[in-house]
Amino acid sequence: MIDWQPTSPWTGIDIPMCDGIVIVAEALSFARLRLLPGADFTGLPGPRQAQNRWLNMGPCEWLFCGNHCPRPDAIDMSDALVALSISGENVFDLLSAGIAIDWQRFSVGTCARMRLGETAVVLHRREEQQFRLIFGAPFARYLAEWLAHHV
Amino acid sequence: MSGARRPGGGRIDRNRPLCFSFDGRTLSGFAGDTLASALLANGVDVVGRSFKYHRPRGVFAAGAEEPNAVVQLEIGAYLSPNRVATEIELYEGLVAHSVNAWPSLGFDLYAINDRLSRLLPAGFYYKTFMWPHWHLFEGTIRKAAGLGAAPTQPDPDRYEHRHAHCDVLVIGGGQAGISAARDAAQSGARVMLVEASSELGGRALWAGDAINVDQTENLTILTRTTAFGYYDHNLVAAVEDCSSGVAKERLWKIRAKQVVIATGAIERPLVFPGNDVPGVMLASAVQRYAHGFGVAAGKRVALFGNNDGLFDYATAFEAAGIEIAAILDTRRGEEVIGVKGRKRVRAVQTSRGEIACDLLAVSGGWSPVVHLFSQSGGSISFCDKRQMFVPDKAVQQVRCVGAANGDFDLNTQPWQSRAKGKAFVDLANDVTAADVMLAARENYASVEHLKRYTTLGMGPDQGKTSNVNGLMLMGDATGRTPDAVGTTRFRPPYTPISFGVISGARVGNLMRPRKFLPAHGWHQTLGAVFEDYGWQRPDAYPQAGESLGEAAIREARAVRTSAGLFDASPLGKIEVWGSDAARFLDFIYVGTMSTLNPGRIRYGLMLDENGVIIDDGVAIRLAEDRFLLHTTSGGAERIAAMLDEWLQCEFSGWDVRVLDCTLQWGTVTLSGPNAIEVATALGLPVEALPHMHFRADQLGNVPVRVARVSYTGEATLEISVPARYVKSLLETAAAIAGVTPFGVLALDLLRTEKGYVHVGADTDGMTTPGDIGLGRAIAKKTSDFVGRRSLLRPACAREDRLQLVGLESANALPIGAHIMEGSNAPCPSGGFVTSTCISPTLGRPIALARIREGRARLGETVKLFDLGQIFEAKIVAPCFLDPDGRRLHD
Repeated sequence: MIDWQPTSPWTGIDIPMCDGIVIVAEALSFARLRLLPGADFTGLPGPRQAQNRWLNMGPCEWLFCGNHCPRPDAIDMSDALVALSISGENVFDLLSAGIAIDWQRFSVGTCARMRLGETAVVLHRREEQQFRLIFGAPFARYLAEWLAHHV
Repeated sequence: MSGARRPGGGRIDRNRPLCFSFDGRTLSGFAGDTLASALLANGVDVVGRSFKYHRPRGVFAAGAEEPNAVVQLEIGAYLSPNRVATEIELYEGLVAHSVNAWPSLGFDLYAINDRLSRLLPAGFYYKTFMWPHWHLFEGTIRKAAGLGAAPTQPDPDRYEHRHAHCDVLVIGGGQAGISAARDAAQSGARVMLVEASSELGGRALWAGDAINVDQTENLTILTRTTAFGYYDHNLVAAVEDCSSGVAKERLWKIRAKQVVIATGAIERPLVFPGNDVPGVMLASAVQRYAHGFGVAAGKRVALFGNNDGLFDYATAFEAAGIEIAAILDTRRGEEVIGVKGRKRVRAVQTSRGEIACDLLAVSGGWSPVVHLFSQSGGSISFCDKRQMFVPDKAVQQVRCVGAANGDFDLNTQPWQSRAKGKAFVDLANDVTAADVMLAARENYASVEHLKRYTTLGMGPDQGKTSNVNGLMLMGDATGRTPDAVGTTRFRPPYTPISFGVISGARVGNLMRPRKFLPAHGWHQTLGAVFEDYGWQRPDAYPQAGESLGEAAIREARAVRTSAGLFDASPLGKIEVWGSDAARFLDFIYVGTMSTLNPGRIRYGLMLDENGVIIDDGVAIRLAEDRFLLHTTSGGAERIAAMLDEWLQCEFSGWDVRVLDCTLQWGTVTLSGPNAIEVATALGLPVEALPHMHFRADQLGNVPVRVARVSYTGEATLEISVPARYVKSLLETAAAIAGVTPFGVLALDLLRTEKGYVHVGADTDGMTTPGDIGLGRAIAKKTSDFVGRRSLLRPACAREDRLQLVGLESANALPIGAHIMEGSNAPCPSGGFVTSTCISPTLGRPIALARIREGRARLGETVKLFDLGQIFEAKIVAPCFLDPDGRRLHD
């Protein structure tokens, strides 16, 4: 019989540290919700917005970040995705090395799919100088190396 | 040796002396010098040899327009070729070497080219060296061509990229640029000001005018930053030299609402015989070296020009202690008709007689730096009054100001030399006035043809001092105005940039993202050799003393005789659900999925609109309204996107949703005659699970999905669990006696033995289902599906298409070997080998191939050709092992 022992995607990967930047791997569950056009979107955020634990990912699509997704029709993606919290006074210098976004127009509470370096990520601005990066678990090592190179 | 440091003056720091070397000579300069100014201060007259004729050349200009002073900077891994000495800030220990001279700069054997110049006119390689054959000379000529040498070691320096946004981007930190930036900043806009040199001020710095910049929070100033490219949507690329920091260079990608170009203007030289002798310089450069760097480029100067600026220069030169030998103004009929001296000007021959001097400062008017404006898509036009090309219509949010806009008040009169002798238009590429005339005579009169035929403006300086003179000459020769001749479209980069800064961090592991399996570490502990298949996947698990190939054969045999364990986590897994899911999949697949019962599996092909196979895999019906599609490992994202596109564009009213769950589920394949037994021992729900059936269950708290489907030809279970549990599953299964982990190489051997198609290897951009023997599904299916219309064309039903078959041969056949449709090569190709191996099970070479009318030629012996070798093989059915499929069902 199998002794099921979960493996963390961050096993064997060093998360970089440096002055002025705090990078933390977040232990979160994820779920993707896809609805049909015309469905009831009550309680879900609008385009590129994040509310509570829901992030709008595009037309009729949301990502839940947290524990215990309240929607049974959402599909569990907890093993597919990982998240990093990146904060600190130098956070813009770090992220601007790989993300082509105007930080003045990307206000707190906003989220968007974008490219960091060569990888697709979801970026959520949680506070003025605090961001959450969500990306595919197989890219954890690449992202850690990318961040280590740039910090 | 004529140049010398003046006792005072300049913006250098005389308290910080610096040592550097040039061609092995140790020299000294000061902080604030450029390499060019330091070389002039040390009396170095000849800094390089010219591109074609190997004529001695000296420093000619003082900025990015320098055509002569090209050097190799540093050595070994830090070597940076073809750097312009005028753009290199001097630093302690700098090492530079001249280029294009052999064996030495002083004695260059290739200078014979100058004597043979009659054999080397523009386009000589189309006309001369033709007998007995061009290729006899080609090697020598190519070896002699080119400038510096590329480094042979990896670049150890670090480079960065940085994105930035602003309301107003001002390019150029001269007076006009500073003024524009200040005004914009005062209005509250976010402003960025980039300046190529180390200080703001431009010409005002060395003309003695006051510079005043109020630094404010909304004004970002980047010095040592050269904007080199202007792209759509007001995206400007700039390179910052930050060698004093962690990175050597930083590539800025700046998106601005509005761009102000204040890049100034470049002084034009005059074209006359001997205008390339060291000591002939742009007058503005002489002034800049004198007042910016405290360097007198000569002791006694003759000034030669066609505009009012000559007299200002004379005043400035006198103030710098340079004796004025003569002022020759073409507007008064005075002109230089020759220059005496080879490695340094000794005298100039003029219409007034010979004048002794060691420096000839020339001024032929000015050319606004419209490069970036032109790159932005803006048009430029020729201003007769000012004799220069100026910005005209903009197509992006951009405007030019100051000298870049042609805001001069100079009385300039065009002038062409009629004197005989080698007069250079393009010093960087050794293009003479005679070359331009030759191009005109041979009807290469278009400016684009002129450029390519003569190489005018194609040197590292991109013709900054030569293009306008060249096209004015062409205009004279063909009776056209400069406006009618026009200019070539300016293209990035404005100045040469390093490959390092283009690459940025994309080196080594960061070259492209590597995707790692959830159980990557476990594979490592087993000694897996990884290959990048989009994912880092084990090719094989070699044991001590075993090669990769031997390991793959051992692993494949273990699968055929016992049980193999394969990490198939990258297998595409797309969930499709909704009340219209079944009919949607009927449209997507060639086969019919709506008739599939829940818990059953069906193989399917996906086509594009041309009827070409783009992916294959199985569809599993999880429930009446829910399907799980297994796609190829590399195709998951692409296919999920394609399904979304169809839904959003064609079936937006259908109740269907799609989600790519590939990363959520890790998949382990158990394959072999003992696979079911092993799975049972693991406690998996596989009892009485027939081939092409599916079961989902919970083991403890872990959801498990088991699909009995095979890509090896053996009884196989594809077991999917949430990715975090894959390692546990692999570890436990591998611990069971008789279970052998196998990699991608063994999988390829196994599926080739069975004749299973690998989409992308056995198929290409022309392969239809009929070509691989799966045309029956099309014939049966009456409803529409993607690609159906194309497949119904007669061309897709022709029997002489390339059809998938097997090949048996005495020797292993190489992939790509062509079936010969004649007895001797060369002859037409009748198809080619797509997969090949020496079968571990059968012990002989086998191959898959796509051969013209292949299915009708079973049993025929054919010849194959590959890289000069000829092989023989017999055409057989593509399935070499267990054609009845008993192994799948046992």
